Amino acid sequence: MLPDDILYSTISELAVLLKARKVSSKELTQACLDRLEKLGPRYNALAALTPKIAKKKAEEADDLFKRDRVRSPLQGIPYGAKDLLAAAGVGTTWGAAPYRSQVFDFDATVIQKLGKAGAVLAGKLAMIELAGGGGYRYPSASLQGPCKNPWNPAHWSGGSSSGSGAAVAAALVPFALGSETNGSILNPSSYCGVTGLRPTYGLVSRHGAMALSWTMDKIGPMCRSAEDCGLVLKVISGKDSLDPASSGKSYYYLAEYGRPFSELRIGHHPIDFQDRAAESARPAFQAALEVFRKLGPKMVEISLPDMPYREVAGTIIQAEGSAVFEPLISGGQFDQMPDERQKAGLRAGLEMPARDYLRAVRLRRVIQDKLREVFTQVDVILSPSYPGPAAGLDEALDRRFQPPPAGEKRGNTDIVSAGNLAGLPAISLPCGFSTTNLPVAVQLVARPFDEHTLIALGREFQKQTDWHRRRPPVGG
Amino acid sequence: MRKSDSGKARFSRRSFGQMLVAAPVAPQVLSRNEEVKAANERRLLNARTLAKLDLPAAAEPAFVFRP
Repeated sequence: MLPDDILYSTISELAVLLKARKVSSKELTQACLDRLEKLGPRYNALAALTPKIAKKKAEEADDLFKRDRVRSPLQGIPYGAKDLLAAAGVGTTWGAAPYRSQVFDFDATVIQKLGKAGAVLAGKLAMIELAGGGGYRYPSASLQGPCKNPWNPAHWSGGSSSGSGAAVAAALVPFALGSETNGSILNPSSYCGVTGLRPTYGLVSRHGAMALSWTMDKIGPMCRSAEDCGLVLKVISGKDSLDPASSGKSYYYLAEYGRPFSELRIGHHPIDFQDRAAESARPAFQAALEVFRKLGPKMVEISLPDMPYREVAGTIIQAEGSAVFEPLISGGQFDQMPDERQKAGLRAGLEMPARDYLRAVRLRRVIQDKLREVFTQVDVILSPSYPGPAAGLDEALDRRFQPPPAGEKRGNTDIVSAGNLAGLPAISLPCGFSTTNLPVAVQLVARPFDEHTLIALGREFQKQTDWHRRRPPVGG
Repeated sequence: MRKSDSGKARFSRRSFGQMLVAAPVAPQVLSRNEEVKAANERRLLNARTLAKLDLPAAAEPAFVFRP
């Protein structure tokens, strides 16, 4: 049994221990497999264990360490993958009962890349069915049941990358892969107190991932620090001819940031940290704002241009998601999924006229142009990742945090939909706890392919704070 | 499913032992028909909201979307 100090270590810390052979990949992997098996079901976070694959990879990694060969900082590090990523010979359920027996015979590109870097796939992690494309109402919209938050199991871990958030928070794995179409990395990262990165659209290949929205899906890391997100992103990014949306660009992690923070302009709006935030989370959000202020950048008060971001994103996801799953919706197994709101949303998507979808994708172009203009005034936008802490397990999610009424100041409350529509990168950083003792987080959003600035700011924020180091009361 | 390099989604269906599955039960607020009606109303409301906006004739949709 490895001590908690090792289990809760970051990737960079584990890489040092592995290289110095103070711990072997075999020991670390076995500890993760044991925790996944024992604690994963407690949180409904585990979809499938992959012990055979993991043990073989761990042995390979230890062999390389013995010969002083290190392919990457991820060599020998176990991880979990959201269960929408294909892994050869392992069940890939997409979180939904109709796909409970689905097994692919190839690896998703990101799984392949991590394997080549020496990372060890230890398990597949639970998710909201079909990544929630129809608009689910309850956390129970998952094949494994509602994923429980390690900080308080009466609360949800967030979605749709639910198991990825819970597994990293509870130290079942050092890092995980999640995916985001409209908040599915940022939301569970915020709820579970882990650091999550949504890459620029097209930076990370989606080949072998379940498609929900061809023009909005992204895959990204969920880790214990901003630095770890950079280390994982370096490995999983890059050109892939198997993904038609691949940008051909790569990300290179640099430990140093060449630009002084005093030259950066951070856009924010006070209303996001006060009136638009849950009362229980306001002190933590205010304190985070102060930490960023003290880093010395120019703080610029801005609001997103007034556009119907949620409606545009909702229309595109509904049209594309319903088209992806048309055979399922029309077939006999659709009713195996439990969430009636989600199913109704997917059915309604099939009725959408082409003109509505086309109007939404044309408006996205207008939104991109408007956001490009915003990013001439600021380098990043700072706002809460989510306005409050995790929902209760039985809470109706469609009734939480409604948008402000027309005519009221909006601030940047729609930054999740806006950022996803425009394909912008974002990072979620744990920034403290609500007065109800649940994690809350802030997000930074940047220009396309400017992950370097997000990670540098995240790293600096995490030097000044220790929220990302806090451990939930998991027990053994 | 995104297609493999052969152009076909390569998967087989078989049972496997290690998958952990709970029987999910969702509390219901509306009946199925009411949910479908509500979902269609939301879709139409979205469409009406988008229709109110001025859209420049030059705004082309991007099907291979680039940020």
